[in-house]
Amino acid sequence: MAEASSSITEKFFLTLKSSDGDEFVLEESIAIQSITIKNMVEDGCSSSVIPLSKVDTETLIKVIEYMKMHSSTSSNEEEIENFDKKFVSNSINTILNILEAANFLDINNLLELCAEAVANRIKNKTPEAVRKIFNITSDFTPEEEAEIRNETPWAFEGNLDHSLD
Amino acid sequence: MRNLFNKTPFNLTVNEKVDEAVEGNNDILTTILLLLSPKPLFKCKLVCKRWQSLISDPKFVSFWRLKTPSLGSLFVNRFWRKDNKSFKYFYISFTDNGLIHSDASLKGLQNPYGEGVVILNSCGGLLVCRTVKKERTINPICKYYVFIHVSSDRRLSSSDENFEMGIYSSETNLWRNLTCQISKSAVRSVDFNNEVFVNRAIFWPAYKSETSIYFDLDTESLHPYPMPSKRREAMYFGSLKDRLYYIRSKRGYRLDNFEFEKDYSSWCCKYQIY
Repeated sequence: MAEASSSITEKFFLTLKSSDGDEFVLEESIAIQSITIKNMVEDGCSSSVIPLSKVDTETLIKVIEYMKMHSSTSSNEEEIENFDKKFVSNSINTILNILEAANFLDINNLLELCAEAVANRIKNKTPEAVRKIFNITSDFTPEEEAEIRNETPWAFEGNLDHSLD
Repeated sequence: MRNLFNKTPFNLTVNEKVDEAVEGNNDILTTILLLLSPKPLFKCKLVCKRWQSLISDPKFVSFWRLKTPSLGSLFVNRFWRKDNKSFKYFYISFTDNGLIHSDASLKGLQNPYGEGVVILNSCGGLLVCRTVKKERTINPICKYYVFIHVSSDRRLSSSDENFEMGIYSSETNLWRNLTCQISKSAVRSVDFNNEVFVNRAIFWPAYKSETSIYFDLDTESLHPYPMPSKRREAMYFGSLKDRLYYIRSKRGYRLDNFEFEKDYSSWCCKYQIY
């Protein structure tokens, strides 16, 4: 292991393990964009593999892509902007998984990016479509539904989007 | 943004679900919902009781409102922005600490129409703005933001003109849409470019017509009112104190000064100036 003998320029690497059991090796300087991982490193819990039991492989790959692009040394602003634009064009389910992972890993920029993407996706959707996207079953009676519609009828005017993505 | 929630946790009475999904996580859900403008947000109340409870929570509402700047200020500058949904203004605010002026953006006003806006004038604390096709009025003092335009939708009736309006209240940050119908003959010659705000009503002059229309902010309805003259001869159409005035020039040397009656029924020629 890289102990006291290591030079300043030497890179430290961490191994992240997804809930599916896949392992990813990542530079420490990139991985600590996650405050959760940073805290683990500072507490000295990162000598071996860091298990991320709440993040599946597909999501972890996306999160690592994001962290690599957003690490301070590797990219310029324009590249980052283009990357973010493309990143949020993932399917809404993927974005929701990443959002959940960003929350768990405490990566604030990623969380905000995904939250905004989700808000943009659902803003013109029907309540029914929003339910399906979030896998929610309505627990309103028809009377309660009618009451909510009556409270703010303007909120339900216009053409709403029925699609699920 | 999340730090905001960590410091001030919400005390919600809804049941937390055990699963880790976004839907079951109030923190994430709150972050998403806070980014929505009024219409999508209130629509989301219909998703389920948990969402409804979250959106109705006074703490949530106050956080959500924080995103929108207050309009308790006087706007003094015209600023035309073609490009996007926000428009910039220069405002002066009278506060306990004296006069504050600042550049700011009205992005938080949730302009649902997303068009360039130009501020035309302010009268009686009312700010009148115009978009390419539409017209809007903002009253920073009364915390009213009125949006008015003539709808192109004329399907309803051939004899009636359909007016669509949105009223924005900066107290609730909410838009409400209104549709008013008024007879076509009453609006035929209305000049929507020169409105006057007086007595909590917006008056538009009409030329070549005996009637014009005004919008009553309290009843939120349009009404016809008579014009003093059928011809296009007004030199001045405006307000003094709480009365509406109309001044016309006759034959180049006489000025007729009309005052509008308080009951909005007729005009009285108060002065003739030679």
